[in-house]
Amino acid sequence: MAEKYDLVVVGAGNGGLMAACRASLMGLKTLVIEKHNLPGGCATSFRRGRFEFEASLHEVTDFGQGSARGPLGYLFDELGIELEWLSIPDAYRIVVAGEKGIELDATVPHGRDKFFAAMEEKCPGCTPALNRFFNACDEIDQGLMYLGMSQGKPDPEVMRTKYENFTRLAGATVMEAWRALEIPQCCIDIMSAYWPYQGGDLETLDAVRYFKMLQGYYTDGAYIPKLRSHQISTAVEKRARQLGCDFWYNREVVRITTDKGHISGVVTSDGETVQTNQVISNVFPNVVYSRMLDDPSLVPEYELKKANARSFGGRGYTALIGLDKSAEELGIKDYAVFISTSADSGEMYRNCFSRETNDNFAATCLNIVNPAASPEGTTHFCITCLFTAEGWDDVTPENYYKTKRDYTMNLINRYENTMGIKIKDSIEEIAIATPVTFARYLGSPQGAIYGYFSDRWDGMMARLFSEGMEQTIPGLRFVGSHGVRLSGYLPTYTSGDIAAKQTMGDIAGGRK
Amino acid sequence: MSKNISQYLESLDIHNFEEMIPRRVSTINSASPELPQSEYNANRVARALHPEVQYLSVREVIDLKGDVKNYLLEPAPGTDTTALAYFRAGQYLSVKLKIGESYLTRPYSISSSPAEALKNRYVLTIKRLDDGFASQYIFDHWQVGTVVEASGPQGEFVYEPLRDANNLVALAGGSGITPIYSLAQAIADGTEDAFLTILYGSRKSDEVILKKELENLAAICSKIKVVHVISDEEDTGGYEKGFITAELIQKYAPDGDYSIFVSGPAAMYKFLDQELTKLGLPRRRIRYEVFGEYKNPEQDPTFPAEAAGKTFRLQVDMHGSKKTVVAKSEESMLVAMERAGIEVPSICRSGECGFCRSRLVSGRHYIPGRLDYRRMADVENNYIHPCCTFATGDGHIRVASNEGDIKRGTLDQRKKKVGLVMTLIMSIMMGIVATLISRSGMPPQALATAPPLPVMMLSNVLMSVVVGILIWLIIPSAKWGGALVAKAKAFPGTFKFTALNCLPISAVNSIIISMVVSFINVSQSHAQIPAGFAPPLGAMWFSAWIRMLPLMLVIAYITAMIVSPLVVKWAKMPAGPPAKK
Repeated sequence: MAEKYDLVVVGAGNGGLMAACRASLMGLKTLVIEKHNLPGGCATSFRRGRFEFEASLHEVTDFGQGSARGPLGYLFDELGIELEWLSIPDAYRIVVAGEKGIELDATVPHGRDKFFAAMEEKCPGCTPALNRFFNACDEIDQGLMYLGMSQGKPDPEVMRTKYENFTRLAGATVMEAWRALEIPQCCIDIMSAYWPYQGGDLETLDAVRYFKMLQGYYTDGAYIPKLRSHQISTAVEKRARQLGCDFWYNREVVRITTDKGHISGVVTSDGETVQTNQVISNVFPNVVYSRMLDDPSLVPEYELKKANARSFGGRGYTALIGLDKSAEELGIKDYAVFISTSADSGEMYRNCFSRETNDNFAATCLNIVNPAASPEGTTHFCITCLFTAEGWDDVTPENYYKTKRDYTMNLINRYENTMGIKIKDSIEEIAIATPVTFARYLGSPQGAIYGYFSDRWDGMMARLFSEGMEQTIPGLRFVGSHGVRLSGYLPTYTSGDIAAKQTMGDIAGGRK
Repeated sequence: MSKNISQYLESLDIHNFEEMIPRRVSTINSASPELPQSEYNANRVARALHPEVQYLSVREVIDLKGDVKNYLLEPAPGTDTTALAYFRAGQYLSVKLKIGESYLTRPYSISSSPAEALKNRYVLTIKRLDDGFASQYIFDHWQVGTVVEASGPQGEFVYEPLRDANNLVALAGGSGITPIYSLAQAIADGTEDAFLTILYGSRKSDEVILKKELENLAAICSKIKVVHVISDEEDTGGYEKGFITAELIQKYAPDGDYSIFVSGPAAMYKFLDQELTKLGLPRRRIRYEVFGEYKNPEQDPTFPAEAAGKTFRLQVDMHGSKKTVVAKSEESMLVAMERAGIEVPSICRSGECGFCRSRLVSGRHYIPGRLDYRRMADVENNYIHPCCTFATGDGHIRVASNEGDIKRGTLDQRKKKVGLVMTLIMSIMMGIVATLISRSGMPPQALATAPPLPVMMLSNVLMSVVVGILIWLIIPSAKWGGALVAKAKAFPGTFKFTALNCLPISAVNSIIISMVVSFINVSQSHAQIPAGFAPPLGAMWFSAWIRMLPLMLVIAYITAMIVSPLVVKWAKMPAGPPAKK
């Protein structure tokens, strides 16, 4: 007799975990099936020697303490998830080093006043322009609040009259908005640094989404958990479990069954069937549609076309390095440094096409924020970059190890040359993750970590406004970086939260 | 005059927003409706390098001396394994075995070179140990054609040029030579580019595993040098005598920077711990292979003495099974579970890989310091790696699954339960009320001939319960209640919700039950009245029913309103509105 659940969550990534938590809080009998032996997806860590390497998280802005409590903080409070967070002092340091040497070297602190002071120093006279930027952010906040209240069905007239500024911004790209606000190039160069977090060049990315992120980082600051993102995943899993959720590990959902056009259950890799009328999938639509559904003809044609019209958002590369000297000894002073050859996000984005040209990356040193991140006298160091196309489509099993090693060597050299800091001779542990690694653990196409690319027609605004009319098979929902709110810790957690509430709405409304 | 924000933003074309959805729709509509692609090169390479499982068949068994065999493995025909996974020299396979009722795994280093894997060939060099549960089984059962289930390549004991020195000094003991031999071959065939000096400790010079093979390699490849160190013979015939010591290492190590790779039995590691500190090498210059099952933890100074020699009970919960197993304090929890026939996921069996990560719900335990490779959050949350954790008290462990602390049925199941319980409670109430109302309406002579109060009450209650259950089975009052609250958009836990939800069930039950009970009661008293004097049964019934109905309706509804929140809570129904934010 197959077991029956109100909801089955496929995959315990950020989206799946949060959906499980919310669904269980609301009283739904929920099961999470995860193919790995632990939860979290990208939000995880792993041991190498005496180091514990953080697999993905650099920082979260949406947490906050006290009056600066952000949306992620509120969400965690509401669900009863507790853990300890550490505050990050600076937003980042950006170093642009081309052939002619270092063209730009700016450190941006957290906190509105400190931000203005630092920017005035680098770009004298920019205060009025930055005020306009933050004013625009306020307009965005008001518009988004209206969107929330109108429950996804905003009145176009109201948008045009009462929220005209937001409406104009909602249709604009980052660069279009900055030009309209007459932000000086000097500021644009510095504020462009975060483009890799959203995986697109700023002539293409939504202004609303990027501005909101900057506002969060520059104003509210950023946080990391004390014991790596694995601590978050464990905490969310624990809370879901306390609320009644079951978790099955080490087995994969291989089939999603349907009955009379509606979801009817799932089948696992060890042959077990679970009955359910609601599935929330942390797995990519591409994978579900092409390999998991028993009847793919049920997928609305529009949804198939959508999947085919899209490309993938960003493929991850990370070299995690355990150094046997302290950050002090090495001369590392910053938590995060963005190193690139140009401040032009468009040029940098295009460079991320292949290994040959992709030499801009973020270098993070965890010990600056968390001195206990690694044993005394050692450093937890990381070089991360994004690939904007299938830049690893030439690797074979045979050349893979050498290829990733050679590429890593290039990046390490570039870091040493740009920063004047020697790390090669102190490497005690090193783990190199490429899109192949992410493909292995996440099963995402091309090892994508940012979901679908935020193209002009497929940005956050476009997805949000069309969410209501883009439905897939009844009983099936998608959460995670490929969702409506795109990638990042807050967006993926939010996607899970919302999907669970929508599922409850379906069930309570008698629609199974 | 300075512009306000709107004036700046005016230059942004508002049409972009208006065109956003149409543009999206037209872009999507012009795409192909085929099933989307999900497999790309990165996915294929990931699968090729890291298959979940490899099905291998034994192609050849070669007897080496000293109770050692070489097993040549290739992809098993007729399985999903058509090509062997490429690996880095020094890695191992975790082999799955079923011995009697036990499901176990064993890590075996691949002793052949990575280049051979490209030709679909792995070699495992296995020594039969006197106390080796698995090795004895393998020797007795693996023959040409045997199909073996194994993992993909695993392990971190590899040469990494970004990290290690280009000069390698390998310290090998006994069957620990196997990963080193793979590395030596990889250097000889050009897969790896390094210089390798192997100090190889064995007991007797005629018991050296792969001795000829190593000497052949050293002969053809100038980058490889082999030094045998024999411990149990007086006259070693030209080889070094004794154990691998700091002195010996210094004698043969190259000038300048070098990395030490250690691979051998646990006893060798303990000895080397002291010797290697004498060399004053930084930690990054010494790498250890994991050595599998940790023996004699009770000899560790930090092992709780009172637990030595004792056995404990370990409750093991997995999805679909709960078992209590016997756990000796000197055996890992993993072994205890395997003995009991439980199939626990495991790979390195040495604490390092974390694949056996399980939640220790309770229980005192001991973990040898050098094997505790747990993530910090796992330490905090009582997760252990059972392969290197020893029970020092009774315990409870959850493997490969976690169970919710609240057990609940599906919403549908709970709704049914709630409906039944509500029906029963209301039926009982109504049976009581109906009795009282009936009797109050009876003339004295009818009362005299009527059954006594308790009997009448009991029979009315029973009748009501039976009718109530029939109603519950046939009439979907719960559905009607659900429809009402959905229409009114009322949320569970609110007064509005309870008031609306209880309406159909109380109305239906009170109407039907009162009809039935009044009919039965009336027909009984009707039968008592002499013929000719009695009014028509129907009219009697109707007036009795109408008399009873209002109070029944009210009582039923009030009962439902009071009781349903309690029943709902007991049945763990969702409560409270979905929070708005």
